[in-house]
Amino acid sequence: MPDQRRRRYWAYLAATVVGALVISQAPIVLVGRPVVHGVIDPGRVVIWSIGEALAVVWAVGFGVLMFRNADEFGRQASQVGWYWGTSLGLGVSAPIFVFIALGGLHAFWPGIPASPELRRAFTLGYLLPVLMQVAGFLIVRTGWRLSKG
Amino acid sequence: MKNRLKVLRAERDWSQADLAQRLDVSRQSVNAIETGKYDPSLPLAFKISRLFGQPIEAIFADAD
Repeated sequence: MPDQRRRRYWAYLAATVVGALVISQAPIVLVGRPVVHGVIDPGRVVIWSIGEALAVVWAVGFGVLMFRNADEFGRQASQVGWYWGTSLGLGVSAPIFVFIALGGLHAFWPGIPASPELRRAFTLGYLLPVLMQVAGFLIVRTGWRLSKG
Repeated sequence: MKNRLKVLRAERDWSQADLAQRLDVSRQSVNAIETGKYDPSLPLAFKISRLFGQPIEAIFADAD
């Protein structure tokens, strides 16, 4: 990789990580923590969520710059990695999810708490990124095909 | 896909890094193309063709 491109890559990577971290944590300076003395503050939760959304926009923006900066070999490596790597990761996570969601941890290690609420929270936490990822995949794939047709 | 990139590069006494610099790609890209593990896109193939002053079919050949 030519030096200039390599320098840009590291600059974009640093800007992505540092910028996203600063933006996502900015609400702690602006409004404070979302939970105060065990009580959830709805206004702060919204502001923290907006901060996270802005951090994602920042990270995606620099992600696009990093992708465009890469040569075609690097781009294909990223595409293969994101498609097959994340598919493999999802596949591996499925049986682990079932094991934990069915109370497997508690069954083998009774010290670990288990309750219907915990299982429901774990299931929701697992499904949210999985469903969003699958939906994103389908939308981008369909959009790409339609744009080429 | 087979190619004569390594031969053409050696004739000019260029290292993989030299060629990568001229094509504005990574040295890893050049190595992957030379060893036939990666087929370049048409734009990159044309760029290679222009750099060596030879038609694409004189540099790249179908494996069959």
